[in-house]
Order: sequence, then structure tokens, then C-alpha cells
Amino acid sequence: MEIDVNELLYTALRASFVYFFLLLIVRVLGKREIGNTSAFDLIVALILGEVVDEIIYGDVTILQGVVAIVVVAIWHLVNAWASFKSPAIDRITGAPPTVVVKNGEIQRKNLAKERLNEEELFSELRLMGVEEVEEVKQATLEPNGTISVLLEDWAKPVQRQDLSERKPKTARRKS
Amino acid sequence: MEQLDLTGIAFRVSIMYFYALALVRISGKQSLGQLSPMDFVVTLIIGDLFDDVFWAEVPILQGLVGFATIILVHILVTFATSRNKRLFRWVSSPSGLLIENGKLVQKHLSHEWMHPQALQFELRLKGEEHPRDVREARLEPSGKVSVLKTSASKPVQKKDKGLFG
Repeated sequence: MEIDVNELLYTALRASFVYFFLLLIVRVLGKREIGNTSAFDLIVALILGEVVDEIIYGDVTILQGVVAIVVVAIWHLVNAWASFKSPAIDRITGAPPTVVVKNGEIQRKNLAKERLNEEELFSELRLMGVEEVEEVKQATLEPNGTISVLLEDWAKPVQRQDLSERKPKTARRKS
Repeated sequence: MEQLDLTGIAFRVSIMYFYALALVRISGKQSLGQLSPMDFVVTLIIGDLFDDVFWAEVPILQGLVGFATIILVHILVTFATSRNKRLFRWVSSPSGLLIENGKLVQKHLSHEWMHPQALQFELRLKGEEHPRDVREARLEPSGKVSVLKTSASKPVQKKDKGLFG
């Protein structure tokens, strides 16, 4: 195999172009659209990452690559804008959150709807440091596919306001 | 490759964008939220399916079928494993107990091919300095390590202060 120095140079040039072009696109799309706020955002990020290899190796022209990337970006912007403006479109394109634990009780129907089992739920709760499902006021499978946990009041860590409760303000004054 | 026209690229990209949006919506947020290692692999596979269609290296119909098949099989598998415990055990390794009551469980550590140092950094990432403060640490099916503190080292909860019940 011959080494074509010119071709290596062009590859480096194309790779540099791709880097700065994607930087621009990601900046234009903004953190909300590409910041993994939904499962689909991740797919779009992966598409952008996969499209560029043919550009870097010169299998397609720069112009062809730019068209593909720009079209993905435009549709993603249109999608984000339309979902923001219209609740109906938002319901179609985005998955609403699903409550999987409510007031310490596992919502089995919702869990089954999301094709999760109890073992997976308990695993997620342990990862959040929660031992007993009774401690959970609400656990929600959020649109980005992660589970959020809100604790019951009694299970929350003690906060400063709980300590100052018994200390009247006058006690702080110097006597 | 030079004869690839730009409108053709724009057309194929647009089709694939909305097709992907529809399939991701059908498959549900759970399957792409990476609660299991296979979710992650499926996400990467899907991300890699597009570019060959964009550049017309495969016909668009073939791209649509390949994409739908991966999603469909993943839906079927997660549906089956969410209802059948034995099947779930088969496709996802059960959580392994790495620390029990402040002591490392050597048997499980070596079973998971995990050095004690690797466990130490997982503990540090959770803000734990020493295994003695840990009642239970598990390697979860998702590949992350969960840490439950001993009751002595747990932060004070509101119920402990008698604010509730």
C-alpha cells in the first residue's frame, strides 16, 4: 500500500472542517435540543456523529455532507419549535413522564406499560441511595429515560430550617 | 459517488429523520434511556444505521426495514423480560453484592472481575471514603454501583429528629 501524503493532508483538512462545522451546528441547535433532554435527542446526536465519517474519508463531497447535516439540524429545530408552540405536537413527538411510584406504592400498571419490572425499579432506587420504596413520595420515568425520585417529607434529610425552628430569632442576639 | 445529487440527500435525510422520530416514540423512552447495557448498544446500532441510507449506499427501503427490525426485536425482548423473571435473569446479570455490612464480599468481587481499587473509586464517586460506612454496595444490572449507607452513617432524616411521627 502506498502512502499518499496529499491524501493524508486532505483527510486532516476535512476532519478539521467537520469538527468546526459540527461545533457550529451544535451551538446553533443549542443545549436544549441536543443536550439529551429526550431519548430522540441522543439519536440525533448519534446521527450527526455517524454522518461525518464519509466526509472525513472523502467518500462524499463536503457539499453533500453539509447538506445532510444541515437538513438534520433544520428538522430538529423545526421539531423543537413546533413541540414548544403546540401541546398537540408535543404529545405526538415527545413521551410524557410516567409515574412509577406514588406515595410509597409501586404503580404496577405504569411500570408494565414502560416494559420495566420491579427488579429494575429497585435497582434504580438503590442507585439513588433509597432503601425502602415507602420512603418514595413519587418516582417518575422522565422523558429522557431516567428515573427521578422525590422523597416523603419524613425521609428527607434534615434541613437548616428544621434546626432554626426551635431557636427563636432573639436567641441569636448578643446579650 | 459524485453523481449523488443534493436534493436526493435532503430527501433521504428528511425521510429518515421522521421515521426515526416515529420509531423512537413507539419504542418508548425506557428503551433508549439506557437503563440496561443492551439499551445502550441498541441506541448505538440505530445511530449507525442512518449514514449508509443518506449516501444511498443501501436503498432507503432496506434502511427502513433494518431500523424497524432492531427496534421491534428490542421491544419484544424488553416486553418479555419485564413480565418473566426467569427470562430477565437470563438476559441481564443479577445485581451482585460487593459490600455487606462494611465488609468486602471477596467472592462476588472476584466473580465480577472487580479489583478492590475499582470498588474504591466507585465509592469515592458516591462520596464514600471507607467501606465500613456502607451497609450494602451492589453492582447493578445496568453496570453502575449502588451504595446504601449503614444506619449510623446515614444523614439525619426528618423522622429521626421527631419532626414526623
